[in-house]
Amino acid sequence: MSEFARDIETLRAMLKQAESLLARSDALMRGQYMHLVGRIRSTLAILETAEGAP
Amino acid sequence: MSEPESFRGTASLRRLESLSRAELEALILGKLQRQISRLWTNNPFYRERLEKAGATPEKIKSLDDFRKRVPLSAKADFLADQKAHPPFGRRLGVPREEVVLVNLTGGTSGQGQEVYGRTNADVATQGYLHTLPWFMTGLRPGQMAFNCVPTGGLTTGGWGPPEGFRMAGATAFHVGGVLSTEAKVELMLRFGEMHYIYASTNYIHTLSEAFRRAGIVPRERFPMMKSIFTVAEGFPMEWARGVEEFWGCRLHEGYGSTQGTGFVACTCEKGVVRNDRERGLMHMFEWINYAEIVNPETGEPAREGEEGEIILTNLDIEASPVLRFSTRDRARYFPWKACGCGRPWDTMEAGTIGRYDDMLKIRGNNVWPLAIDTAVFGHPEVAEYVGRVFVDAEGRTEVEVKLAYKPEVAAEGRPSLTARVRDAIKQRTNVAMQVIEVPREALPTFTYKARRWTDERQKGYGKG
Repeated sequence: MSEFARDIETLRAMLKQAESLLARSDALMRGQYMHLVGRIRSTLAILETAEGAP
Repeated sequence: MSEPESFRGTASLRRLESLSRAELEALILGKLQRQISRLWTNNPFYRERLEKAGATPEKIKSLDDFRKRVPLSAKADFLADQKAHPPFGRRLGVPREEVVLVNLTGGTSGQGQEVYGRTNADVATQGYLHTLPWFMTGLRPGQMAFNCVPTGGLTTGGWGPPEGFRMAGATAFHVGGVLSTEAKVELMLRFGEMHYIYASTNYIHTLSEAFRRAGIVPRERFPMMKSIFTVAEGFPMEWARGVEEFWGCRLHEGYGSTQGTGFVACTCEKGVVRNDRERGLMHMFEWINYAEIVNPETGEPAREGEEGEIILTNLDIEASPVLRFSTRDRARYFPWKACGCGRPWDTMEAGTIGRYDDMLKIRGNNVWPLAIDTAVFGHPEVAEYVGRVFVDAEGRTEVEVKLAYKPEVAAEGRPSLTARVRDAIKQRTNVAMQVIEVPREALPTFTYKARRWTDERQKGYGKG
């Protein structure tokens, strides 16, 4: 397994969970979950690029 | 001089450091193709431009295809888009509700400001594009960092650094624009420990002069200093060497912009003074922003050592992305090998970034002489004027406008008129300038193109 493969798997699972929370959220929590989803997406992009994936 | 910890071998950069140039270009191409497909599907502004140019996603099979087929876009295109589809233009590319931050470029009124929406992911990327260059230049979690660039407001320059320092895990002081220089010095002395400073070239000069006046040598008082990271303005090599000697640490530089969503390039461990006498090179983060440096006349890639215009493409940004954006910034291109650090990331020379138009950067504001013309000649009593930007004896950037009135203007009305011109300039440019009346014969007569402005700042840095 490549160096960050496990981290990437973990982040993808976290992203799915965060997106699910966002989909079910109330207006107050929506911003919190949008922030979380955005941060995970950006971190995933960094690690996927580090692994050589476009 | 203390040397900070090198970032070589950092796990999340290791592979990018060790790729061959061909492998890196393949990675860039893959991300370009993905971004173009995304824009084709989601972004009506770019879809229309790509369709018109026949640059369908399937036709972009190489970086050469990309350069030859994808048209440039410019500030005027963005402003027209914003005017036709206010306020973001169709190039926003995401639902407006997903925008959590709005950045405007720091243009003067009357010139038009580009509007950039940013999603949560973009804001995180914006932070990373500040964390990354600071990490590369020695900042580590837990270190004390002083951010001397004003925070907040509407620019990327105001929002990226706080996010970047937080993501870097640094203990950050955001002192730009809120404390006088003397108060900043007092704060630094009070906390006693300082590892990293982020400031414009002009402000490093101002801060250094303040320490000199106080009789304090920073390399003795803050022996733990790792780096100073500068941005925005060029500088002479002698000045850079003087800063390193005075502060006892490396001086680094980054190039960034709102369009780049943060820093696009920065110096590696070698800093801005390479091998004791050569100008440093800023490595571009080509896997996040693809920056071409091209001859503005021919559109061909600049060759080694040649100057060219920076053409910018975001590879990861979701909202208001740029695709072959003509920045009008001028840089000297050097291929990756020129640095000698071994990383396959192409470079631009440090300390010499300039402009292809006559825009001046004054105290963090983008100022076009045309805007000052409008403010000054909006008073028909004025016959002519000239302006200069310089560094005063205390290291501060000052701006002086000398104007002459038409002979029929009554003497008693001139002082209040001069005050009104000064206020008009401030309102239009956000920059306070000294305005002085002089006799008409003291000013030139422009017979072809009026070149009213001189920028003497680099001469002023050399006096330190």
